[in-house]
Amino acid sequence: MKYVGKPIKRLEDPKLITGRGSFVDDVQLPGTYYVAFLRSEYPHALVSVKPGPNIFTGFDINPGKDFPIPSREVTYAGQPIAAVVARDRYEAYDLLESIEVNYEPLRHELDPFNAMEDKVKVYSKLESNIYAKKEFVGGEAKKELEESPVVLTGELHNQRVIASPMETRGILAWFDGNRLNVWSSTQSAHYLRRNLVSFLGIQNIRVIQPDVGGAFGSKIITHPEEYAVSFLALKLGIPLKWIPTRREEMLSAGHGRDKWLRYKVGVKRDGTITAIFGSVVGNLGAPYRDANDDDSGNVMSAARMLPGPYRIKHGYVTAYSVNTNLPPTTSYRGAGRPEATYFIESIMDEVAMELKLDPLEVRARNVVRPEEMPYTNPFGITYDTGNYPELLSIARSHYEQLKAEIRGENQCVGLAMYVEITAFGPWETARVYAKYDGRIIVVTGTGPHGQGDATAFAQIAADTLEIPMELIEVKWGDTDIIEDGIGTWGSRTVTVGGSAVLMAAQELKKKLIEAGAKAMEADVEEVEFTEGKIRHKKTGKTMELIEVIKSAYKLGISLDVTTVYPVKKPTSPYGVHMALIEIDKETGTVRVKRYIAIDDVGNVINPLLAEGQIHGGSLQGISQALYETAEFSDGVLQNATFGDYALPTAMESPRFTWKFITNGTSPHPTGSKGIGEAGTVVGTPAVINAIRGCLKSKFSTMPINFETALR
Amino acid sequence: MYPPKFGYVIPDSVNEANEFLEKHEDAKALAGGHSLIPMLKLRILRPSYLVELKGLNELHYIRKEDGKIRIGALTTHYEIVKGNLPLLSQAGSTVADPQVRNMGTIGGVISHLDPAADYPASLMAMDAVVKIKGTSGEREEPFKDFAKDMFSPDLNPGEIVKEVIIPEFPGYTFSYKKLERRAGDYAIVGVAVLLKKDSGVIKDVRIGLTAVNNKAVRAYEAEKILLDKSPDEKLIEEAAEKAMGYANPTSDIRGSAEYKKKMTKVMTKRAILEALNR
Repeated sequence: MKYVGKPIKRLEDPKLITGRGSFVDDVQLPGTYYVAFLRSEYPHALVSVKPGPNIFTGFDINPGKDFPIPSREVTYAGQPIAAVVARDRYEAYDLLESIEVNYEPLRHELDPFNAMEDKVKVYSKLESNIYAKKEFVGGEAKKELEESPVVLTGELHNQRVIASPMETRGILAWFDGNRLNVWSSTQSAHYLRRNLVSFLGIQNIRVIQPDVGGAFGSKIITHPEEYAVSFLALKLGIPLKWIPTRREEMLSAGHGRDKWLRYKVGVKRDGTITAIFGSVVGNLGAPYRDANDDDSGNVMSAARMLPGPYRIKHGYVTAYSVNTNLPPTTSYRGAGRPEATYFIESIMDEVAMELKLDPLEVRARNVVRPEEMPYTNPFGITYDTGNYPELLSIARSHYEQLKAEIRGENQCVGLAMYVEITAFGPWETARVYAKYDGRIIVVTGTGPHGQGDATAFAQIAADTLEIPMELIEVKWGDTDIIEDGIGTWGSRTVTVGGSAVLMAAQELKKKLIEAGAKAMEADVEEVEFTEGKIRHKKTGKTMELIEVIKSAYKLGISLDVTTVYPVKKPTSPYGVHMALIEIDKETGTVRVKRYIAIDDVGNVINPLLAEGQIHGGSLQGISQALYETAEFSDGVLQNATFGDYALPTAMESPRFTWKFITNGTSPHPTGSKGIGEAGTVVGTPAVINAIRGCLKSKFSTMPINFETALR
Repeated sequence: MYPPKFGYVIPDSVNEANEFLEKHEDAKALAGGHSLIPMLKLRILRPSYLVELKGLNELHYIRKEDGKIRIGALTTHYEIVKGNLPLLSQAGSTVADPQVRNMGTIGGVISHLDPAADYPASLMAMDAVVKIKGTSGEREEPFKDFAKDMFSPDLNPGEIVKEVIIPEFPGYTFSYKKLERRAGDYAIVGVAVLLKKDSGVIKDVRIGLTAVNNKAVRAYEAEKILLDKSPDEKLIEEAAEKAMGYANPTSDIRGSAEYKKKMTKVMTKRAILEALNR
């Protein structure tokens, strides 16, 4: 292997550092008109919009229905209720002010626990505010709990945060008389296409995912505005572009987390956890189905991953996904797994505190043993490979080193462990083909938007074909250039998309051998593929790759291969992260000074890029612990700007150290596991546990702002 | 994001700006634009015209003369930071972020009068004077009177701030302490301290507070505790406690009123200590 495993610099960078990227708002079509949306000021109301020229409502877009655009009933503040079409955005926003709207406010419900009682329906057409309820049962939790010498009870809230990618959503749609062409800031062109096909009832749709300025889960689903703009483009026959303002973005998209755990945990005196019992409640916000389907899955993940990397054999958890009149929640980096990890890692530290044990020791006593692998937790999730005690013992040396760095009683070290599920199916595609001039093109069905997977794909393809990376070009994000695809989310791209690339490259290699043999007038068995050349085993005669390719075209052999890689099971990375924090005990200011991450994510394809994912993810995790929260007043978001919604700056970022071990590879051809979400999954409890240790107190909610830390 | 429509005027002189602003009462003067333009983009303001001051070099200077420092209204935060001015340079260095400091001006800050702005704590402590120019001539007002209330400067139609005048304060030490959630934020609490010591005895002391009242205030009673004394820990604590009495903050996203009141004491203590040790 030549490239895989090396810190190869990103192929994506040159264009982006010279301002030559092309994000959706950079794409220009002649005669484009601009769309803007009027948004509800009420969390629940009957609404009537006075019709006017260039004003479109739910009656035009989805007559009689209230989703994606309400015809009559709005169910969250920030919901788009009417679209205007204008020559430019200035005019569009002027036009919005002229719209006459009548609201008849209805009773609303914002609290998921109250909503579950169904006294106030968050939408008149719902049978129940409970969108989904599932029980996860393993072993005999009730009995075990009764027999446990120590029982801890509590409530934890993993608060609502907003993904806030630097580029908002945005779409450009144009019906050319034959097909609908769509450019969107999305996480998958193919998935968006499928949704538009089913909404619009036409199949001739091409979707392009141009450069995308981050998403963090917020651009997986198809948003109401994307449906509406596509519909209007089809209806009006002119190119339409929609780019929301930041304020609109924060009011209406990227909301994630907002899950509660009420728990009872049985513990033996030695710190061994015997049983976990409780309920997970997720506040899904308004009943927009695309979002609810997405985040209800995350609520179930949060419940099923609750036992963490620990051999807790007895569990009984009821999970509720509940609609309220808040903006709908969707996936946010980690998608349910950060909540589970925050819950169980908070509990682990409370156990340590209660029994006066070392937090690392409590974990060591509970983790799944290597001989138990693959291990299935009581809620049916299988952790495939790894050696948890060994990783913990490596972590211990860093933990001790970090503790030795403590200066004064205001500094503390906290840690958290995680196990994750990554690399979800159901399948992914890759197409690899050779141009007549020798260029090798790799097309992936995934949709990278910052993660740098294209570089990893080039590494994988170059190693498989035994050629320099420079010969390879990686493309994605156009439904016209590959059969189909799933997308980039669930930390799946390098592993699942990469396995498809690996298989396609192997297929191409076979075809090259076939073409080389034919050109040499030999049997396939008589030649071999070595260092990008075809070599006749007996005569020693070789053919350069370019000659083989040219011969293949002349011989009528296609060098265009598409593979579909089906996924059987997700794979489980794991690790320990730790943070050294300092609390200013007079002001309550908390700063993370040092952060050490130790992960086992299977084969690391590119350590430079994997470490980048850890820095980014961990800082988002830290930020959830210390800064971020969506604040509502009567259902209306109060901090809808970056002035008020506190994202961290470089000044708030700690110094990171990243280490990896490779003890548990995945069963996928790449041997890799996902790392995109790991930092966000575990960063939050690592910081919270450090604060808990310093202040010796329990916390039920986050962020730990200055005032909380002072109490 | 998108401002409402407005007309735009580029005057040749301050006089012309005064005349236009007097004739068009809802016209707004545009300096660095880092408060006005954000408000336009949120459509909080809907002026008929913006009057561009940027080209008026007669408002752009820092001059030291007769024990006074005269700062032209269009002097930017960046220039103030680099100007090595007592207290004000330190306060300026905490304003927002580098890009904002490259554009924002002192005249704009005090004509806008955000209650959480950084300069007012220092300007109160320094007994700054504001020179105002209108069509009928110039007048000078102490900053404490100029700042009538939050977002309410003592400016009549047609008038603009021409200059901010502060004494040079030779031999003084100072400190501005700002509590913020993140780098670049407005102050949760800001405390400015300016003092003069002679053989260990405090001969003059001035304490200004920002972000905890409708407008910046001076904590006179806290100053009295320190005046003519040799400060020790107990005395500083007492003075900080008194300063807290001047804080009448409101609860908002940056913290509860109770927290901000407590922090007034903490930041006052820290500012006094830093000024003493400088």
